[in-house]
Amino acid sequence: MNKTKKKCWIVLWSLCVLSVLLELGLHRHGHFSENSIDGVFGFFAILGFMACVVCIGFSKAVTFLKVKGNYYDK
Amino acid sequence: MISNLLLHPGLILILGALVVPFLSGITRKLFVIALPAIGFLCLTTLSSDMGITIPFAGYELEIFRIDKLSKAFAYIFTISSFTAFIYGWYQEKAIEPMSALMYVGAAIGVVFAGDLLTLYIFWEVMAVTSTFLILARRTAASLAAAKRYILVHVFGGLLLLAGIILFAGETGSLAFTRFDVVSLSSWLILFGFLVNAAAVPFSSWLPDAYPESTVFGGVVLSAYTSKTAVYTLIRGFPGWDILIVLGCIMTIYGIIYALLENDMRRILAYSIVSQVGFMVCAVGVGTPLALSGAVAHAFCHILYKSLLWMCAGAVLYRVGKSKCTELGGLYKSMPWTLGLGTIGALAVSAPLTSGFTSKTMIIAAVESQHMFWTWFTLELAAAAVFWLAGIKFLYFVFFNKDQQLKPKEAPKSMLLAMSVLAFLCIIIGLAPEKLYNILPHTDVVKSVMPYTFSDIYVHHFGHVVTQSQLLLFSGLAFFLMLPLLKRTHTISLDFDWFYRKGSALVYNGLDKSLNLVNVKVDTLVRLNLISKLSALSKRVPLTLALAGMNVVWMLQGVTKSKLATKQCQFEATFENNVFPVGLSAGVVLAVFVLLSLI
Repeated sequence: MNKTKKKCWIVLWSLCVLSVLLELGLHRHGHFSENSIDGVFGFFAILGFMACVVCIGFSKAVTFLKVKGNYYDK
Repeated sequence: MISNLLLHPGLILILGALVVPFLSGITRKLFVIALPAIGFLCLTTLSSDMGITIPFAGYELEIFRIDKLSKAFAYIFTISSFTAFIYGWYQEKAIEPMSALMYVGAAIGVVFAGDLLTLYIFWEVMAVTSTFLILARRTAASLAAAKRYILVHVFGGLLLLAGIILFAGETGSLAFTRFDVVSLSSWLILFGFLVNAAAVPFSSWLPDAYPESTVFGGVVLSAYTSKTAVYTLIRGFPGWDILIVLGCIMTIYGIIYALLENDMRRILAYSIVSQVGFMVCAVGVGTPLALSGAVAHAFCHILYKSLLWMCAGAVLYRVGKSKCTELGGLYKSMPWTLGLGTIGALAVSAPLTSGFTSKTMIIAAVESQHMFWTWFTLELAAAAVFWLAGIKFLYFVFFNKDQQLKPKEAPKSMLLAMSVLAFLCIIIGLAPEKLYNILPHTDVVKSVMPYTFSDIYVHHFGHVVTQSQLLLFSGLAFFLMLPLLKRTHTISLDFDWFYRKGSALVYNGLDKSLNLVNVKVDTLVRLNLISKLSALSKRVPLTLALAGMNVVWMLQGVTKSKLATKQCQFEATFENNVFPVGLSAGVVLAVFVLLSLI
């Protein structure tokens, strides 16, 4: 792994940690009810992470939709 | 006053397009840039009392309806076309700017049409003129894509026309207002609009056709057809629940296909489907805040998506390639394009940019209606589309594997156009009040949404933190899973399979099955049945006649040895039909006598 990549990873992890630390100082509550899930600490971090994982996972499950570039020319 | 038509921005563009072929060189380039600017200036002078209604065949046609909703769309259409023509400064042929002017003019005509007939006419002009932006690339693939594109739009247009005719028959009016009654006519009109909105399953024409267009054509096409459709949905179908479901499906559908795709412009095309999903969903929610959110998002989306298409177009213009597998490592050669494209990608959802402002409004509208799963889907899609369409496109084109391509930086005109859009993306993200002021329900929006920098980023800091968390952690997942996103030399099967491959299968299936039936029927009927019927039709009368003659011969006392000879002679005479005329007449007479006795 070259130095630039390593630095990028450090910046990304640091920003993630910082965003979670900043949430500690917030008085958040759920928008849908007093105890709704969106008010739980770290909910948006988990949702964000899962968003990519779920979409990439789903795209891997439907790779049968990928065909060769000349598929329609046959 | 009919003279107000002179201030119609759409007509200014369409009439200006007719002049374009008579101009050349810099005059033409300046002229096409000036037209949207003039249109924009005229737009600022329009007020709702300047509309025009004319009688036609017993109907009142409101050919020029001016209100905040139409003006909001017309503003962004003129702004984006202004930047698109700056971008297209390199154009030397007249066909593309001419088609683009007519296309944009027709799109503006749609948003100012107060009746369904005027709307339909402009709708079809859009379909025809936009096709030339695909054809202008002059490749076999673009020709084929243009054919499919126009056929799909003719299909959508016919649905719309059928709906309009039924609607006029039912109500006696052609006024284009909200459709409150659920009937066949309103469903047909809705489907007509949804075809242009690239709603699933009518979406595949967009990623099929737009990436086959020219560099300039792609930038122009990305902005108008789907957004005029969003406008018509806002006007005609606010609060239709089906649009919420459809919008949510579109948001995720676009992301999944953007992940599968290899062509950079096709990735952006699927991203359009995903983003239009946000707008369609907001129309389905139907509250004033949601509808304003749909308009705001259409506005912001045109800005950042045009910017991304310009970025992709600049790469295609310089490198001549659009597949991610053939691109990579361009950050050294085209740093300005990368920088401006990054602003476009950030503007999809990131704080301090336009997409953050408009998506927040839609999501707030959904929250206020307590629609948890809709909210959940939109939040998830907002995070995923940011990385999996916007950033992914930049990563594979400008970084990833260095393909040793050393193109020049994009032309200055392209960079200038991209800079204008990037500036607007940021300024709307920092202080969106100007945008809020042109939305249809400004008061509602301003009472709910923060609109100054300090209000958005200081007083609502919590929201900024949670949205940043959403994007940062999805980014973390994106980079951790990057090895799984290796590009392949493939295309993705979409709903267009049904009419591209499916139609061939149906044709072959029908060919084989119907021709098989044809052969079987031919064998059975022509070769067997008819010949047997023919033989039967000869045999039965012969047998009957022979039976009658046997009786006659018996009465005459013909001997058995002569009987066989007589029978043979009779059969030959019967088959050759050479009976004496008198005998034939006698038999016929006898038959008639018998019949009369019966």
